[in-house]
Amino acid sequence: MSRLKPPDGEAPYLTLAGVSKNYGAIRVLDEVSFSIRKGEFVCFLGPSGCGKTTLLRVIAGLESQSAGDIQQDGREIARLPASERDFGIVFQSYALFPNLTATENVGFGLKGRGLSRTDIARRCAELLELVGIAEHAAKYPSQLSGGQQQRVAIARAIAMQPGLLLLDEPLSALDARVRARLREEMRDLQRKLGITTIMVTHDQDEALSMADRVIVMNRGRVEQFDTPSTIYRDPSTAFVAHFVGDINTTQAVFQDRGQVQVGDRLIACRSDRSYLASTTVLVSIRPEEVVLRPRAASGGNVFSATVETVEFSGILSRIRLSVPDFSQRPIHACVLGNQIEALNIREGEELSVALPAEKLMLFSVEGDAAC
Amino acid sequence: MLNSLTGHAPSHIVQKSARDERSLTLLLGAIFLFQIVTIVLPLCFLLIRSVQDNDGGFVGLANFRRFMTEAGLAQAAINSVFISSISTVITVSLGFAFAYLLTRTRTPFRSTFRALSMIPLLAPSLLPALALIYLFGQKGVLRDLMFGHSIYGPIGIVMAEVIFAFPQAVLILSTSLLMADQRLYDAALAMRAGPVRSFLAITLPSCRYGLVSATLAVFVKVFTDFGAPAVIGGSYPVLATEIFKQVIGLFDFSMGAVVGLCLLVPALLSFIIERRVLRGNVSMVSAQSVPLTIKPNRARDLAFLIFGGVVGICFVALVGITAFGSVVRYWPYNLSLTWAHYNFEAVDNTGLSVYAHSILLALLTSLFGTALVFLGAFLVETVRGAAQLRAAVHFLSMVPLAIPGLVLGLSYIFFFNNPDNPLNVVYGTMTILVLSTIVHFYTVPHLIALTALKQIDREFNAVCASLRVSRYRMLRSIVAPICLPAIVDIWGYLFVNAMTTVSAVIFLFSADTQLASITIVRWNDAGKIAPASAMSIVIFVTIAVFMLLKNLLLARSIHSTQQWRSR
Repeated sequence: MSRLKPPDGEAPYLTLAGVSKNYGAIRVLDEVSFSIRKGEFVCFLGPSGCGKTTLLRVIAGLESQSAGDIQQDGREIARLPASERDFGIVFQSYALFPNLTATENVGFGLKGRGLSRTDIARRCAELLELVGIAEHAAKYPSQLSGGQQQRVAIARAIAMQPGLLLLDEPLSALDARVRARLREEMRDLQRKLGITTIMVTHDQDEALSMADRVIVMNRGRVEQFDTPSTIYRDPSTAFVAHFVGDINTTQAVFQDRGQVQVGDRLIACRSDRSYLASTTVLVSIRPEEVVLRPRAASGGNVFSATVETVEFSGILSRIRLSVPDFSQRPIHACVLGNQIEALNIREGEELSVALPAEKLMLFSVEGDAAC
Repeated sequence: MLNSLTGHAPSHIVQKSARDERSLTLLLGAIFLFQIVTIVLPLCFLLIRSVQDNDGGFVGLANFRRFMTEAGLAQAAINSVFISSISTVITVSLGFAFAYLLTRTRTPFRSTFRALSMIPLLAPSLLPALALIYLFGQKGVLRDLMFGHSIYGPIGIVMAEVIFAFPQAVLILSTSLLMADQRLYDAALAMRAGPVRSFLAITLPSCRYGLVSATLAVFVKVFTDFGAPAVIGGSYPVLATEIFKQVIGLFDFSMGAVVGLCLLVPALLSFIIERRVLRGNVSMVSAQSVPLTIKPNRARDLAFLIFGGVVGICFVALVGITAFGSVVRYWPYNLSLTWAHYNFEAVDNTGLSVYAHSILLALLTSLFGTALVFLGAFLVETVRGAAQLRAAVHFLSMVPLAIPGLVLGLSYIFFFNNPDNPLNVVYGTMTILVLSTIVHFYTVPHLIALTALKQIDREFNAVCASLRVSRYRMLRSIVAPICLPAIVDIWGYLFVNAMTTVSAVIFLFSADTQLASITIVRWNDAGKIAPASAMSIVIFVTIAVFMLLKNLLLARSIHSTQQWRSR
């Protein structure tokens, strides 16, 4: 399915401006601002306690913000109670009504809206068909599997045709196999309906594979708001770099644009970021960008290394190396399985690693991200 | 198809939910007001009355001084403490052994024993007292066992109170004995500790809290019980009968207020003590605990079988002897059978109407009480904001547990019989009996409702808000059906207690609202033991039938409307 993105420049559907929330002295949300386009699928990604769920509940009106404005579809909603906002919601616990069948759950909000009984029944049937559990329509939640329950919850959330769909860790309670399948189905469904969606998750794979754009959060702040590939390839902070994907990091001293000093070695680095000369910075590289070469060698961006362990895991293998000239701690490299033999990689073997200048990233040292 | 599933919610769907929320807060406010009127104000009037003379003049602590110096009253206080202490020690010891039998042995017939031990709950506290009179009274079949002592007095009171308080002790103690971690016992065994040592080192400490809680509950229950001393106390004064004598016999309402405050003391103390103990209570059982497996042990199980058998037979005998006494012509001289004592019309002119009043009271109390308690608990759990109001309503829902029925009844006299109170129209009516009974038994149902509500997914509120479904519809279609078993429990609890209660209503009934339970006291006082027994058997049977019907109904409705509970 092709990615149908709304054209840029269109008015944003949901805008948060300076949203903050305090619990007593604790600041759970700190000046959160961003805009989401209509039809976009956005993930809030972050470690537990980063404020992502609180942010979702603030958008839904289930919790109130201490400061800030929220606009949805041109309407100021920050002061409205949840029941006057326009959203559907799905929880990790599904929160299905246990005393109602799947159909009754889906139709619960449709009753008393002036729709005829047959209209409601048809709508429920369509929705259950859409999420692929039409054959379980008459069952109670306790008779359904976790994945089936979550599908009912999704059907119920979209039954009222909300402008915004909120998903609070919807897949976390499911086992890995069901999770992977539901991930795909949910994304397809979202594209098909074109409904603006926000999903909270702590699972980076989920966020990267499902979202059009990802908001990485830490300590109540937005660290970065970008497409999954930008977040991975060009993380804006050391926190994002470490939270999303694997990375090797060591401390360095910034010399000038294009050069940093690691230990007593000067290495080339083609990052666009610039610092005052002699500032302490972090220099990082993804494991898959580390290039392994047979035989020990040293000079420039090439360091001699010793293989500590080789961890085989299917297509890729993860190799732990000690590279004393680069870092006190071991660094990791990822290589295709067939290269192991080609490069004669074995534990205790001496070889060299090249760290391509254009793949090295620089970050400023932050209190919480020193790794 | 997709067209119907996309796009925006029509604006007419966005509806008046803020009004909804406000009306819920208003409802909560109304319940708060109800509690102020039915709990706080009456108690204030009681307090004020205790520092006034009987003409309403302020006399400071003179009444309290009179209480200390008047021989009968001080003696009654000492007697109450004495009776309650002895009864508590006996009840908690027997209750612990019985709870141990139920939870930690493999004695056969455990579920039968459990059912038998609950018999006293189904009858007014007067029934065991009547049974004791049949057994050990002047004409009792076992009076020789008394060795010349009279059953009318401390011995009789203690025996009746032990029976009366026994079920509660067993319930509390078996709950705390149930929580156990097999690993602790395995570890003790590995360290070669014998059964006595592991009992002292593991079992006792782990139910320390249950023991404290049972001790306090039993003490307060006995200290404030009116039924048993009224029937079997003879001339032995205790505070519970003294308050009645001061108010109804001597019209000394101020002294009644002082005695009422004395009755409150143990409840308040136990509240404080329980808080203290609870704070230090670290559970020995965690989520990873391994449930106890009880190995068979012939000697132990045989000993407990004998113990359980004796207790069970005693309880059956109590009801049996009372029932028997109510159908013999003239105990113990003419044992030919007759239904004559059940002809209540012949006993006095109130006749059968007292039974009808009791049924009416039980029905009204259980109906309105259940609705009020459940709504109150629902609002306490779900109203958004208004945190102080919610806390206040919750607190006032807990207060009735600490107010003895006699004190509540007396304070209702002071408040509702006040000519300046516009509410005094309810005085002497069925309404005030229903009100006082609901308030008297409010706390336990409130806790049952809260427990049930807390098990409901708290995200239902959010889901209903997103579906723009009103909270009233959520209460009706989701919350109430899920909580149906708890609601039925509350209903049953209120019905049974309204049927058997004596203490609060004894100050409040009028000639037109005589109750069956009170009639038993009256007839017993007049020496009409057989009709009194007949009436207690009628109440006992009524409750037993009611419980049976209730359980059948519940089983039925679970079968037809609650099939979602089963997989």
